[in-house]
Amino acid sequence: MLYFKFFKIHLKKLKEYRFSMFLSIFSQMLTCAVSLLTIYFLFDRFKIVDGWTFEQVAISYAVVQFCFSIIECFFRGIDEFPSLVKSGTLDSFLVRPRSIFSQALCHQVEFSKIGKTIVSLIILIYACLIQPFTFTPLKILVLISMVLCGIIIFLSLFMLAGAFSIFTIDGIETMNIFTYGGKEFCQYPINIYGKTFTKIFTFIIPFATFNYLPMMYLFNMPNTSIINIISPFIGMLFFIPCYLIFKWSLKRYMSTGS
Amino acid sequence: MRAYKSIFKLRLINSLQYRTSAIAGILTQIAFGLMYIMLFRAFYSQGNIPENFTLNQMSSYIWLQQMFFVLLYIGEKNRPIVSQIEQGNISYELVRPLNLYGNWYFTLYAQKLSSALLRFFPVLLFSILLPAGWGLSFPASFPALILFIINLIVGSLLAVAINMLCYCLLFNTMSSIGIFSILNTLAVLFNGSLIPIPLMPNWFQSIVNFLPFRYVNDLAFRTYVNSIPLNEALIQTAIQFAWLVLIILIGNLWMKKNLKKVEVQGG
Repeated sequence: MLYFKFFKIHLKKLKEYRFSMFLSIFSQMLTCAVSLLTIYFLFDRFKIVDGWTFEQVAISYAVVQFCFSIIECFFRGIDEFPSLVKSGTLDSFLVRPRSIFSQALCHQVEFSKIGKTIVSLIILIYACLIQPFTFTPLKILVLISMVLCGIIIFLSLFMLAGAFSIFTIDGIETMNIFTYGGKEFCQYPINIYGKTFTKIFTFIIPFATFNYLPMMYLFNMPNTSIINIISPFIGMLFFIPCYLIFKWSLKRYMSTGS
Repeated sequence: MRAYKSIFKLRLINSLQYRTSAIAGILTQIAFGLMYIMLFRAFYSQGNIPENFTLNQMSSYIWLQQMFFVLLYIGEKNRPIVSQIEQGNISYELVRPLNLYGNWYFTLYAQKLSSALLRFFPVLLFSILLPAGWGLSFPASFPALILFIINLIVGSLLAVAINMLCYCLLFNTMSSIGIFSILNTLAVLFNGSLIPIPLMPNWFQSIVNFLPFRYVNDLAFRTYVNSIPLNEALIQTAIQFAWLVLIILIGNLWMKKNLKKVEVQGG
């Protein structure tokens, strides 16, 4: 596979810079730990938010951090897509006999983010262990599908940002509100933000499908149905329209010429 | 002093040109402000609200934070300066009859101020139009407003002074990766950018009070929303000044020490 060949090249590159690598892994771990600490501080004072406890919020925090760090670590290239458009490097992708999407994915791997990936995985496992109940096989399956769904949704959002950048060339930072902002937003079960926002982030950008909907099933909340269990799979469908928009925008691509 | 003034002016005019990124910044600031207020409102509805930090004070605090985000940000990496150190172009700077610390300090400050000037007014306008409990309220009193402005100016100077320590450290490590983000992570934890300091547990607040970071932003905001009484705020302003002088002094000495043994690689 093309992706793994690129992966090895990026890995070799990093071996050359060991100390920097160590420092940046450490800084990633620190960031992750600090944001969990602030959530802990809030619960220390307020105990509970909209019926959710610290142990439960730890799950939504760990899931979104893990998903996002996977993207940042392994699919960093898609985040850089707008800069490819701006610099004109995308032209060289177009002449190669591979799909633009997979080339964009391979384009960059950011190993320093592995620190974040590891820490968020540890937090995820820890969060599972501190729950007052044990996980049934179905619940583990739901948790795994939540993670997959989160990765796919963030990937789709980055792809969408890339598609927009083809038209706007510049000023694409606004899309960061949905990608990086979405990451912050989803640290908590999103229904605490009120009805309007819950609706927007269920039906337009389906953050809810890897966030509070399946979490309601995980924590045996009342009024859960089969929808709560399969919602991560419904959320994954978000990829299809995003991919189509991405394809469509590539047809409209005009090089910046630089 | 005239040289620094022109460095400052030049950089200011230079960075005022980046309007598109300013618009994106404004939208991001507004979105994050709203998100944080919704989040803290959800927590506030549980009760146990600190006496000196009501709902109105909280929303004003968040908007001040968003408004002056760039101005009071700690840990930004100035590419040109970093590459001067890493790649040896610093030799050009050393030939100039200027104090390097002053040169870089004003370069960084001008950059901060220009991005802040472009961003702060739209966020101010937006937040002041929101209803109470969601938006920015007026300052508690006229003296509080004056003290807020003083705290804000000293705070922004302090932010750059802390940042300068990172550039000094860069002479020793020669690699900028990680340093700036570690500083930023610690700063946002200790200065209340992640959660406002009055919402932190008491034991943590006493740690925070010992460190310089909260004098960058938290003091100014809390003077504005009257979360700290005026006479107490005056004492803290004195501490803020002391931190500023101390950190600039350390930075200067460190820089001098670094420059004595600076090695420039050829090329």
